[in-house]
Amino acid sequence: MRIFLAEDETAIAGFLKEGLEEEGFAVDLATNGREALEMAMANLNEYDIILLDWMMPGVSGIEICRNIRKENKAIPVIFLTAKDTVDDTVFGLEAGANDYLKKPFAFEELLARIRVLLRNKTGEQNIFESGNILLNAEAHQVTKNGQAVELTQKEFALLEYLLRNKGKVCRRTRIIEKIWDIHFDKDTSVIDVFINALRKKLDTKDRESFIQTIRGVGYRVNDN
Amino acid sequence: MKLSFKKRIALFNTLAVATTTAIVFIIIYLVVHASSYRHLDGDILLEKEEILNTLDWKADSIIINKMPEWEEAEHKKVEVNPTFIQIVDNKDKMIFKSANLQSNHFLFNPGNEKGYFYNTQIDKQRLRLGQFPIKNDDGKIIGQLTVGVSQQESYYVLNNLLITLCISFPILLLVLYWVIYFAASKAIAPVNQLIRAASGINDSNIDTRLPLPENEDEIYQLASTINELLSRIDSSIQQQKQFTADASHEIRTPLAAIRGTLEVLLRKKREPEQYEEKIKEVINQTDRLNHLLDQLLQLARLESGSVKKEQLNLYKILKEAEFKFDKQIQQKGMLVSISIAESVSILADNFFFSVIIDNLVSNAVKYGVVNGKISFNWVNDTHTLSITNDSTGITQQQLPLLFNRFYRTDNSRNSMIPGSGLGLAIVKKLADLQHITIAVSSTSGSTTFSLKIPT
Repeated sequence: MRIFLAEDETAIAGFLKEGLEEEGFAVDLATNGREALEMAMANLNEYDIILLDWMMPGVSGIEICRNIRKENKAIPVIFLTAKDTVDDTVFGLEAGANDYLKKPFAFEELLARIRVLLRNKTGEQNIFESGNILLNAEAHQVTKNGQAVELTQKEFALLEYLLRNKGKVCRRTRIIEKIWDIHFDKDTSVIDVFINALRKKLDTKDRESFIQTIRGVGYRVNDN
Repeated sequence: MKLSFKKRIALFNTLAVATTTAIVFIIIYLVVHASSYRHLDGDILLEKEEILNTLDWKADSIIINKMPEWEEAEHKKVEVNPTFIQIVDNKDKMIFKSANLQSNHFLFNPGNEKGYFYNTQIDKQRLRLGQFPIKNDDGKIIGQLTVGVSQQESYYVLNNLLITLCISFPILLLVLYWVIYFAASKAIAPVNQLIRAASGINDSNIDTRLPLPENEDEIYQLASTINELLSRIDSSIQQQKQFTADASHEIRTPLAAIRGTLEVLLRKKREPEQYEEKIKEVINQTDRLNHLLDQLLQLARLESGSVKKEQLNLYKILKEAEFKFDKQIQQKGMLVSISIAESVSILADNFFFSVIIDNLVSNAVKYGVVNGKISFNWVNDTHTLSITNDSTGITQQQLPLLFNRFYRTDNSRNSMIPGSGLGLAIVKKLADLQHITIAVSSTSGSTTFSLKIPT
């Protein structure tokens, strides 16, 4: 899951990026309005959710939101703002935002809202399974035969992406775009490391790996 | 007694008209009265001359040469515009009495020497009488002549006039009152309209303006004056709202950072170094909050500040400020030059002026370029102090906004320079309190703040 975050306050941007990355999201950060507008519009379709600060120097979050809506109606947008009147909330939602969070907010609440919007977007529940493997995105939990399995952030994100696209071939370049942030160079060999780690932790002995390698293209998880 | 404005106008106007009308009526009555008596008296005098011409005297006794006209109807009858004549000699003996007097006779003053007019009544007939002395050739009074004419007609005329005036007076006033009342209602109808429109304006629709009448009259002026007032209230409400919004934004932002940083920190076990780093971040944010609150309180206190002006040594104040920021100046390798004579003294409030200088120097250090220069100059002719620092410059659009509360340029917001955006607002406020004119100019290489200090 890749998140675009626009926030000019470095202290806030810092903990958001850190916290979200620990939750397995790839986070692209812009620290002023102009930069945010540019970055968001350039890779709009790569992002699963967009978090916008309202009051930013240069271009306001409202303007960015309007621009995003011109291009893409579906992508969920959440405003993070210190503006707190009802008028502000209405104005923000009318600009095309899906949700509105007043600062200071609880980080857990932000996560919960992100999950809700992602669920609404995919129209699915946030629980995915493949054979004996079960992933609960909301609880950020993976079990194998009912036993909890510890995964790193990136492992979790990769598994979630593969399960969300169960039955489809996930191209290596797409995986990089979705799981790693914009600063990551496009060396896709890193994926193999994480695929191996997942196979090691989740595969059942004497059986074929639940992640199928499609040579030269990518990977696929089947429902078996 | 509470009267509406139109009733008051009507009442005052009516009172004024009542006074003038009363005076006019009285004058009319008096003139008519006087002229009618003058007319009667003229008739009496004519008659008197006529009679005196027919009289003769021998020593003290009067001889009447009876003329044929004396037998005329006017002397005989009471009914037809009669003239009454009575002649009495100086022994109070009735010598002649016109027939129409019948058994009556006029009272007379035997000592009368000059002749006078008076009123009397005989048989309910109002008469105007003139009594004149009859003198012989030696000028000795030998009798009294009384001539009377009926004044019934002029009495009626005068009486009618009086009644007419007395009745018409209240009617006139009553009519006048209502006419003025309706005229006044009509005249102040636009005022009522203004009142209705204005009373509908409250906090929520303060941006509404009163409709201006087509004629540029007093009502127009009133409406446009109220509109100007509304604009001023509107802008001050907007400023207040903006201030509250800005202040809450500035307070919430560090709070959000503190809360978020701690929450993320708590989500799992971390290395001691990480805790240390995050705690330091949180302390920085609380410092920021504290600084912001200090400045907000300072601003609030300034709203009711009183200025105590005294002679201050400018050089000394600037030196103190330089000393205060010495550490930061050294860190950025800046050069400070004060080209001001040590003798220059200015008239200002010591504390307030020091706060201004501290803020400006603090800004010069914060936003000045590394290894740059900060220079202080004094122009004695214009009484102006200027503080110039090397900087990347401020755009022309940003310059007028600098003194707004919470305004920070994009560059300063983005950079890691700490600040609340309140410093220059405080400087402006303090300068205004002391009637110091503050101005800022900027080129691509430097920024200058100048303070014109009143003498």
